[in-house]
Amino acid sequence: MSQQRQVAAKLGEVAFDSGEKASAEFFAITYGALVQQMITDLPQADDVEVVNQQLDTMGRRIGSRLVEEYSARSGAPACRTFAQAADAVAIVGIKMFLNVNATVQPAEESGGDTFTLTFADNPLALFVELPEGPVRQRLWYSNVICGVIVGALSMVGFIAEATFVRDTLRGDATNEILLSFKGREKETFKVEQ
Amino acid sequence: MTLYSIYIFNRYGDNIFYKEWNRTTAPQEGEAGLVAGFIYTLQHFSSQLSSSGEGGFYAVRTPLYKLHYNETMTGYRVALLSDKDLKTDVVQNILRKMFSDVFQRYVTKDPNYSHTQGRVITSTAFGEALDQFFHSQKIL
Repeated sequence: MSQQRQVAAKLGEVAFDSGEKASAEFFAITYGALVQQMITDLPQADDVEVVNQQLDTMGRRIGSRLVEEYSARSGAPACRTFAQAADAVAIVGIKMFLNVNATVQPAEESGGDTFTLTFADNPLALFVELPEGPVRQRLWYSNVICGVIVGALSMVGFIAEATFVRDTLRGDATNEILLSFKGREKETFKVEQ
Repeated sequence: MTLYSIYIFNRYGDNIFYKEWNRTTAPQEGEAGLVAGFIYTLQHFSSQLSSSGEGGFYAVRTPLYKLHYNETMTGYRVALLSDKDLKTDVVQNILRKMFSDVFQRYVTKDPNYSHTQGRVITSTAFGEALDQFFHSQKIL
């Protein structure tokens, strides 16, 4: 691990320690109840993608607020490049809010604008089993995390896409999110003439 | 020490919060927009004129008053007007804490507030908490 990442990992640990703690079980069960309700409310039982979209949308709204807390509590500097932002998400942000050690590396043949975030443990998936069928095949159970990442990054000027590509709930060995840079937010501060 | 007024702007340049304490002149029509333009322009001057290309704008002082500036990673900007002798480094620390403590607790975590264009702070709790905070920091 480079020295920069060691510093970032330390920031994540300290930020997690300094925050108010909630029971991981309570958090996981609350989230589970939410997802279950979304699935129950589906007008068509097969439309599992609708739940993925709802979780993403909800996550974006959460992310746009969480980034303020990230900034306040971690003391991490603003990121100038998307590579730095990907590091910050994986090493500081995920550690700070989920207490999970994630790794980040450039995705193969991406030209530097796509990164793979990998984490073995997923606190949202505690006690969860997905039923066989369309839910297991098409639901990204923790898709709210992707929304949070995209929502947070947009508040600091990065337009990004985040999608799950591996999920232990589907039988994969680990959890993987693909994080892609799509552009910079335009300056929005308006100045009167 | 004397505080005159405070403006907080969001990333769109909307004046989402204004408060005055010992201000002696009446507010003028459209002045929040002028303050927004002023701090934004000075911040960009700072970047363009610096030898390193990096920015940084903390305060500007006139014979009669001083304007202190700070901003968050997410584009919230504050302009605090005070008497001319209030120390820059003291206020920088206070404004940083204001954003990380008071603003976070009473604005970011308020479900009635959202980071959208045109949304102003309507809760009175933030204004009251801000007064208490500035009192505790001994600048009010």
